[in-house]
Amino acid sequence: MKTRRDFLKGVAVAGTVSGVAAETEANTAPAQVQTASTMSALPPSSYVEAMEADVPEGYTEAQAAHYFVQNATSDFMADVVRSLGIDYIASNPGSSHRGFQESIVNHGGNRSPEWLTCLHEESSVAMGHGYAKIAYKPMAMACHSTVGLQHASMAIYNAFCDRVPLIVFGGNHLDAADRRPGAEWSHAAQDPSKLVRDFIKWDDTPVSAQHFVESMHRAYKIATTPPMGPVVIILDGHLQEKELGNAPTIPDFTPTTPPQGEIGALREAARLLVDAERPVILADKMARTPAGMSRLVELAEALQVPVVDRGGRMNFPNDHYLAQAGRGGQLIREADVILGLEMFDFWGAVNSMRDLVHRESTPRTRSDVKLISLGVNDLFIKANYQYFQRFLPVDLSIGGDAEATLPSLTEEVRRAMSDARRSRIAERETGLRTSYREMINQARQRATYGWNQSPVSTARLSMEVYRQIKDHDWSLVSRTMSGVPRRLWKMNQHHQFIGGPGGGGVGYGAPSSVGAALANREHGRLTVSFQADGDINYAPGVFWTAAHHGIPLLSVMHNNRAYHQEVMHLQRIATRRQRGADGGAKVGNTFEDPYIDYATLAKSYSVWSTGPISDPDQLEPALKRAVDVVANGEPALVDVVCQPR
Amino acid sequence: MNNKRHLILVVVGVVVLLAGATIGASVTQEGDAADQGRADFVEVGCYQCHGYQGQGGAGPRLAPDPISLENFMRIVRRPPNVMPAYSPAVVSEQQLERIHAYLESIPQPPDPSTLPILSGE
Repeated sequence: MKTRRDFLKGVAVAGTVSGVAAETEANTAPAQVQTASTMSALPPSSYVEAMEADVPEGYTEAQAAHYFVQNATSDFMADVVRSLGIDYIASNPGSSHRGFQESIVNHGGNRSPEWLTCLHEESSVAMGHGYAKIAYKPMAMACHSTVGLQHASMAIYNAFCDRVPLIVFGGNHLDAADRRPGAEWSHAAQDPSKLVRDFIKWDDTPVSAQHFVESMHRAYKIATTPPMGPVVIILDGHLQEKELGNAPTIPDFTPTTPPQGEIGALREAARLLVDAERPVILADKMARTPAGMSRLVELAEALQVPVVDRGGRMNFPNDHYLAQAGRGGQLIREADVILGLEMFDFWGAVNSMRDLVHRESTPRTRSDVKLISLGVNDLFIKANYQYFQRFLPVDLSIGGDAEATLPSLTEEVRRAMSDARRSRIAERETGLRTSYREMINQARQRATYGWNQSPVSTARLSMEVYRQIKDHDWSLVSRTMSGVPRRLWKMNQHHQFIGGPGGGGVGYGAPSSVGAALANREHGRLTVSFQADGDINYAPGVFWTAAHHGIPLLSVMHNNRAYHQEVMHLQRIATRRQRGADGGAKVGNTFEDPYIDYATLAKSYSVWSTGPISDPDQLEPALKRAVDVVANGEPALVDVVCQPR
Repeated sequence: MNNKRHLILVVVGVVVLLAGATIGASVTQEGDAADQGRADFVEVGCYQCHGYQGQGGAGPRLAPDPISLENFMRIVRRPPNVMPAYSPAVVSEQQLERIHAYLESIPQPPDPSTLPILSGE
């Protein structure tokens, strides 16, 4: 291994300081472009001179000889990350990944990937969650060893349940003989990924540069192959900071094609669907990309079948007459064949269970209904966390990615359809168009109730926001306000809705919205989030991240001053026990006395804000102003005091 | 004759005054019941699922045009779906009557055709 003294001699002999390959006895790495940030042949300071002269006091000869690092392994790690097309790494600082961070920033120029400063690891991971659903590729996040992964764990669980790819780096200090006293011990583990292994797809702890590049490629393939999900790569601190030695080759990345349903099963499904008189399609986490939407439209039109979009993704345009989620209950009750596409909870969709002490389930369907499941759920399940919901016996279970399989299924449907059957199916269109118009009119009527009241109704707030954004290329990246936007906003682009948290972990909303807004930024889209008050209080610092990195996002508070779901839960138990219904349900579940001032909170993070607004007539000017701010590239928040739901 | 006519006029006047007072009292009582009913609606927690104006939310819409008082009481005591049952220990018959009066007092919403933003215009 060369020492700095040897290196300096070599530079002097070569003469120039740029474009020189520093060949050594042991190092046959390809030529490195010497830039001011990477070369170390600068005029030495007196400190450096002392280090290069006799061994300074307090240093061993080995320590002095290897004090300066010319070619850090983490520089190579940064190159690998860049080669995979990872554009961002979100992180809360941690010494266990300091080598990697420095390489990203100085060796890589802090571009592709760019290092994003987050104030909580849960925020950095949830940002990646939202980002991936808009960008259709993962970003990375760096978590500080034990404590950082602990912070990040809920957000990783959400992404796992939601089938979203993440590349999670965790720092560690594996060699006990190498740990400095204190933090490097409490922030080290034999097996750091064990904490999250029950809800990630794969993990590894590379121990060499060659190991790292192979693991990164494998990790990226696993994360991005349906069912997609988070992966963890542990970056040992010593490995990051040591000299690279022989640099491995970085191969081209070859993705794995998504699995598709077996052709025999598809033909059977096609036969059932074509022969059905009242078929229904339920779609949940199906459309990973815009292609999923268009493929489902093609299948639905071929069969003249109504589609109930369950909202796990933007699966079907709601301005299409076959988009009939508003009639979902009736359609499921009357269906003779139900096709479920990437259903998160197929059992819950076709069964009901009352929340009582003694619980029994009741089917929502006809007794003779045929159930077809198409999806990747059965291809990858972990046992401990029960995210996979209740087991549903079905008549046909097709293992395969629904989006990738739909073209084949549609082809088989067309093949199975006789001319007579095609004519009969076509007759459904008129009735379905009528049902669609009635459904929309009912939704409009329903939105008028409580229209002028204070606190502001969720319907009024939803439509006032829509009034301001509808002429922009907008993207709604949060859960919706009692479903009003999905019923009444015109949604026909894939990026206009991205579903929810997956695992139900509260605290997902704000950071995932910032991450989605980051991905939308390069498309010039206006990103909108209905921000629940309970959600934002977990890690509001993500607003600072949005301000600092210039991420435009319109956050409209759904400020009902409570963890409202839990208020209703307590109410249920209180009434069941015949006590305390007159206020007891609010203890421990509400933000009252005092109220939280979200506008001031946002201002403290340099986010433009206004509110709180309780009068619905004040919404229009406030939202208009906020949209102007966001359209100019900055985040904004409007605090609105709302009805509970 | 004049005395008789005068007496008739006085009697008629008293009757009119009494009728007016009764109607006024009835209106006031109804108004009080609706006001108190709103307070009950909030205190007992109905607003959590049905919204402060009974417009619906997690639970169905209750107003305007609520169901009959009889059906209302029956459903509150033995709800058929996901709503929890409210026994007399939690909400009395009197409170339910007042709550129903409140729901009856809620005015009709605006016509959707008068709200351009509802049609996305």
